[in-house]
Amino acid sequence: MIVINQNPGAGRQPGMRFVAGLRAALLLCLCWSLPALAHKSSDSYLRLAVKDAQVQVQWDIALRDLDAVLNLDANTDGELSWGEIRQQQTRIAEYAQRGLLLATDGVTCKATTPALLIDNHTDGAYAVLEFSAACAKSIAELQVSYGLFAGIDAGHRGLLELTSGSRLVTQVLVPAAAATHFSLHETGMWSQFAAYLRTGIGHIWSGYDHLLFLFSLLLPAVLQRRHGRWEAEHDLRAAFIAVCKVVTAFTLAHSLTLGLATLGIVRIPSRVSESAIALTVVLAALNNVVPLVRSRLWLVAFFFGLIHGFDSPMC
Amino acid sequence: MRYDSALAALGGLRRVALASPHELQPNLRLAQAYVEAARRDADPRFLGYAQATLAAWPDDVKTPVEVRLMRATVLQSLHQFDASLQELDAVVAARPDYAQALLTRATVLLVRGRFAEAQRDCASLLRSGGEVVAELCLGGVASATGRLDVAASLAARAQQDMPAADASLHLWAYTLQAETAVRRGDLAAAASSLEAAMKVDPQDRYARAMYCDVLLDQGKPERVLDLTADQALDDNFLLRRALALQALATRFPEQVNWTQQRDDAVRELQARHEAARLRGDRTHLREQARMALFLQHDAHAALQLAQENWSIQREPADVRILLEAANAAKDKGARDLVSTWMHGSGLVDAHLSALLRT
Repeated sequence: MIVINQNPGAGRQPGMRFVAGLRAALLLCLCWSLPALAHKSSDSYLRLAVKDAQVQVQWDIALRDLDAVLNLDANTDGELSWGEIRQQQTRIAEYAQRGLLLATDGVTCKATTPALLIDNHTDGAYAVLEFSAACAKSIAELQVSYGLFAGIDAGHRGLLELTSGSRLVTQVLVPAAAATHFSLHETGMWSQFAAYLRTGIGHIWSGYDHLLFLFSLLLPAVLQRRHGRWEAEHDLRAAFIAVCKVVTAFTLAHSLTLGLATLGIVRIPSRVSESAIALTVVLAALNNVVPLVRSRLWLVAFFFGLIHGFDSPMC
Repeated sequence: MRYDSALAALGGLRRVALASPHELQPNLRLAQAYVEAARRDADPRFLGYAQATLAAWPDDVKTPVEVRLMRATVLQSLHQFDASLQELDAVVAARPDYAQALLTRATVLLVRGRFAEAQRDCASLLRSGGEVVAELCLGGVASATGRLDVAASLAARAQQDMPAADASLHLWAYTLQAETAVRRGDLAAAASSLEAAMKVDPQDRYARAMYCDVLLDQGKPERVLDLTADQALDDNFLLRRALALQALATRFPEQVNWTQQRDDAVRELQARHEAARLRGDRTHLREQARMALFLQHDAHAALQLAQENWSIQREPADVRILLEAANAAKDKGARDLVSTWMHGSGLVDAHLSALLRT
């Protein structure tokens, strides 16, 4: 008789894995001892792989937990033989599948009969159920209702790993809690653009120092101080072009140095960059009161943009 | 005890409870048996079973105090101390002379570092719980707040008065004596108290774990290996075994065997901590911090874990790992926090004082 060693330090043993049915004849005398003690709360490991209208399921459930509910150890010798497990395969599958409901748009996906495997985790032998669930249509949102060992073990958790295309989501599922909804839409280009736009506006809006700097920089495009008086720019087109030049020059320069700083190509100590930025704010403000630069304001904006780009932690 | 025979012993209770899911007594008895099994085997699965057994009773004022006390006990075992205290406050408000509730609340308050309130509950036990229990309870608070002579004499007096047959009271007195001796810096006295405790109940995990720690401090790792030779060790004992193996590996660098065994134990602990992290389990932060500091030599990770642990529990062992990690990470802020807290609580501990001087 082979008893799989549960000694600490052995860890997960990927080799110890057997497919039901096909190799069962060879494994008639194989046994898994139910761990005398487990010092860990009960977890199941649920892996869902979504593709179109199909969900591939691999679900590891501790044999010890299943035994506590289903009395798998018929001869109560503290060990589960392959024979005992095989005889109970249908009960195990039915019990487990009652504890997992996959649906999309409120329509339950149809699960196939699972293949049963055994795998060793650090805390003992686990039943591994492999099956697939066919949903009514291509899955945009998957609803997962988890109820394994509900009413039996309030400490049990389902550790979910959901993959869909390149996306990976993990979640701790609580038995008999409300269904969890997973949105599987690939993020579209427009929604990404909108998200960046929102973040950008939020970033500038969040600091009045940013806004004041922008006003000081843009003010000369529409309002200039001449002979001790403020004079408005009457040519709307000229004002518009001036604003565009300043904004574009600042943005390009800022992006350039921000990129260099973020990628770590250029590093400037923050006390230097912060002081330089403060100086640019003062100069931009002064330029409105005592005009130093009137033409080619965009060049100044470009230069200031270069400095502001180094303020990477804030930008 | 094998797992299946342990469950078989519970089987009878389970059948009775299942037959009458809404009757208080059989379900309470089953939950009690689960809590005891969890404690005996350090197996948290039984705590989940106990919670599920009591789930039929709603979470409101009409729920019997016995159910709420049992829930509080489970929450305490899961280190959810604030949730436990909430239940206990409700129980004591409903029945101010409920000795078991007062004792449990005093224990939780002590772990949370709320000494004045713990002291008040212990004093209330003089009326409702009997002199011996109250003395040991007060002794625990005295020991945690630097009144070591008071703690020692309370333990001695309780030991004189307690019935010879009550093993749990004797165990409690011996471990209280050991804790007090450790704080005084008398490791030999602590060791002999713990040996006495283990004669009373060789299976008691609290005494055995404390004994391992004392032996590690005494530089006797071989004895720790003897005490942790079981097949299936829980995380607490596996950590102490790994620390003992490391001490041996350092002492005998030419013997590869110790290093190998140490590495195996560390790998196993890492796998277990990772499994706990995946489910969001935060019950073993103190042990995780000790592992990070002494076995993985990562002072910053250790300090982070010790600080997180500090937000949950504040026993002297929690103070110690926080201070050790703060020293290793050269974090003056964390050091100052500990020193201020020790001053405020009155805690006196020879080892901690030495750590604060370095």
